[in-house]
Amino acid sequence: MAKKKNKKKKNNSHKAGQNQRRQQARHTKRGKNSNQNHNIENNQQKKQVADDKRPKNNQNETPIQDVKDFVRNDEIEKILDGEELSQAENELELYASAKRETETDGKSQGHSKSFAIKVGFILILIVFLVIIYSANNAKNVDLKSVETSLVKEEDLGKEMTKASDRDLMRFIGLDSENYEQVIYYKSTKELAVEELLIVKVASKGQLDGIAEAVESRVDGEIDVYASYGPKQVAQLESAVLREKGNYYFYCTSDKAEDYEEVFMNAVQ
Amino acid sequence: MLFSSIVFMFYFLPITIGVYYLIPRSKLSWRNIWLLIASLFFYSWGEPVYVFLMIYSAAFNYYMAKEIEREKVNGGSGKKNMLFTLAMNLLILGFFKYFGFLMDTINGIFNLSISYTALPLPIGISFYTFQGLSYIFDVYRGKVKVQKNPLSVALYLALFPQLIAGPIVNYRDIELQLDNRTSNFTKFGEGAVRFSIGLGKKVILANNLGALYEYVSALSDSNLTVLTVWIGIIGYTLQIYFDFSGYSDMAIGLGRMFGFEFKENFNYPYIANSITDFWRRWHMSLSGWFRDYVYIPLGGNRVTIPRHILNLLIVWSLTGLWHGANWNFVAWGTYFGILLILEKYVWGRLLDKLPPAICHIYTMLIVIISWVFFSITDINSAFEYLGRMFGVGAAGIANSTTWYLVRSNAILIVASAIGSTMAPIREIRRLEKQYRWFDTVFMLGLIIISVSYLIYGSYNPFLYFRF
Repeated sequence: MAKKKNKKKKNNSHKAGQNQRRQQARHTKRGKNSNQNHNIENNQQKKQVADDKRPKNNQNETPIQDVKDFVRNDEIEKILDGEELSQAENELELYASAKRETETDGKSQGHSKSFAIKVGFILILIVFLVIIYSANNAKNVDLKSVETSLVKEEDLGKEMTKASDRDLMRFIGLDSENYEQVIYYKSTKELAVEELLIVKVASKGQLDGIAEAVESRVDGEIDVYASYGPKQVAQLESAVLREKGNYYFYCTSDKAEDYEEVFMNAVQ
Repeated sequence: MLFSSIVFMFYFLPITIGVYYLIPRSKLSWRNIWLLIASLFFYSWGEPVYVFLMIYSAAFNYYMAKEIEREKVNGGSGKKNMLFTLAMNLLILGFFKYFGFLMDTINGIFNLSISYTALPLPIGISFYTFQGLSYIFDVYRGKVKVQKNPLSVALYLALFPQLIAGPIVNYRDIELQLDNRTSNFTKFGEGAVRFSIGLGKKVILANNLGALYEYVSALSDSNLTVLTVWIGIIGYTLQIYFDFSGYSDMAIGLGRMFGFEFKENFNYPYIANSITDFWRRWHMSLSGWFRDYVYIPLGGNRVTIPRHILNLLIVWSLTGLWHGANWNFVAWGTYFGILLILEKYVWGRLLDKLPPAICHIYTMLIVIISWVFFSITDINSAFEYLGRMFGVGAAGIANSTTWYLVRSNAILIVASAIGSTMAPIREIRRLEKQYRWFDTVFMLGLIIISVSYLIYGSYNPFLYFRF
C-alpha cells in the first residue's frame, strides 16, 4: 500500500533531481525492509537510524514542528516501535524533498522580487538625477539677445538705465573683464535701489565669487536704508538671486520676477 | 535653516520642543515620528527638492540593510549587497559633490572643453551619506541588528540636530536610543546650556573672527604685509574652530534636549602637542569614521611599514577629498597624512623629549599653515598667501593697516585664543561652585549677547555647511 502511494507520488514528480532523491529513498527503504523482516535487533538499529535522523532534519531544513505537522504523534510512536519505520522514513524524505523544492522556489521568487526592487531603486535615482540635472542646466545664449528681450518685452529701459563697467566695479565690486558677458542696469533716481545684473561665466567656479559680491551688495544696501527706507528694504529683501547653468541673475525691483521669467525663458 | 537664526531659535525650536513634550513619555514612537517630521521640515526649509534625496537615501539604506541580513541568514556573506549599497551611496555623493571636480580635471588633463552643469550641493550630504554607510557596514559586520522600522532609519539619518554638519553619528551609538531614551528636565537643561555655549561660540566669536579674515582677504596685494596675512590666517584658524565646534556644541545640546546622547566631536584641539594629538581632538567623529571603516579594513598599522604608509596616505587623501571637491582639499589631507607618517616614523620620539611649549608651537604652526590650503580653494593663490606669510611677495613687515587690525582685533584674538583652551571652562566651573547666581547670570548674558548679534548681524552660515 505504502509502495503504491509512493509510486503515485513519484509519477507526479517531473524533476530529475527529485527522481534521483526518491530513488535513493526507495533504495534505502528496500534495504531496510529486508532487515525489518528478519530480526528485532535490526528494528532497534532502525530505531537508532530514526532517532539519528530526527535531530539531523531538525537542524538542517525541517524544523521539528513541521515534522510533527506532517506526521502525527501516534504515527511517530508506531515508527519508533519499528512497525512503519520505512514508510515514515519515505514520507519524511519526500516531505523534505518537497519542502526543499518549495524553499528553492520561494528563494527564487524572493531573488526576483529583490532584484526588481533594486532595479526600481536605480531607476528612481536615475530619473531624479536627470530631472535635477535638466532643471539646473542652461542653454548657451548670447546675453545681448536676453537684454533685447528684457528691453522690448518688459520695458527695462524705462525703470533702469544701462550702467557702465565702472559702475559694476563701484557698486557690486565685480570686474566685467573677468566674465564672458555682463548685463548691468541700475536706476538713476534718488533713493532708488532697483538694479539688474546678469553675468555669464566661463567657469562655474566664478559663480561663488559673484554670489558673494551680490549678497554683500544687498546686505550693504539693507544696512543703508534700514533706518529710513522701509520700501527700499522690502524691495531688497525680496530681491531675486539665482544661479542657472553658467549664469548668475540678480534683480532688485518690483518687476524682478518678470525680468527673471524673461531670463529663464531665454536660457532654459 | 540655521541654528543661529531667528526663525530657528524663536519659531522652529520652541514649536518642535513644545509638541515633542506634549506627546506622552510612554509614546516614544510618536515622539520619534514628530521628530522625523520636524527634521524633514527643517531640511526642506533650505532644500525643498533635495529633501526627496534624503528620503530616498533613508528608504534605500533601510531596504539594503534588510537585504544584507537576509543574504546572511541564507548562508551568504552579504558582501554583494553591501558593495551594491556602497556603490549607490557613493554614486549619489559623487554625482552631487565630485561631478564638477571630475569634469574640470578631465577638461584640464586632456585640454578639452566639455560643458557640464555643476549641481548645487545638497546640504549635509557628506554627513548623512557617511551615517547611512556606517549603518550598512555595521549591519554587514553583524555589529548591530537590522532596523525593522523604516521610520527609525529615516530619523537616524535626518535627525535635525546633527543633520547638516555632524557630528557623524554611528548607528551603533544611537541604535538603543532610537527606541529607548529618557528625556527629563535635568537633561533638557544641560542640553540648553550646551546649545547656548555653542551659539555664543558661533555668533560672538566665529562670526567676528570671520569678518577679520574676510577683511584681510579683500585687501589689495599692496596692503598685504607679513604681519597682516598672519593676523588674517590666525583669525581664520580661530574662526573655523569656534564655528565648527560651536555647531557641534549646538548639535549635542539639541540632541540632549530630546534625550539623545551624541559623542563629542572636539576636545580642545588647539592645546595639542603633536599633529597626531591634534587629530585625536579635531572632528573626532570624522576621523573615527575613517579609522573604523577605511583604515582598519585596509589593515591599519598591523602591516608592513610601506603598506602602513600607503594606508595612511589613502585615508588622509580621502579625508581631504571628503571636505571638498577640489585639489586644495586633497593637498590639505595629504599634507596631514605625510606629517602623521613623519611623526610616526621619523621625529615622533624626539617630540616626546621636547618641552611641551616647543611641541605646541610646532603643532600650531603646522595647523595654521594647513588652514591656508583649506580656506583658499585656488592652490596657486594659497601658495601666494603662504609665501607672504614668510615674506615672499609681501608688502613689507607691517603698515598702517596692520596696526589698525592689531588695535581693533587684539582683544578678540586673545579672548578667542584663551577660549580655545580649557582655562575658561575651568574658571566658569569654579565660579559656579563659589557663587550660585553665577551660572544663571552667565547663561543669561551669553544668550542676550548672542541674540543681539543675531538680530543685528547679517547672514553667516556655518563654514562646514559646504561639506
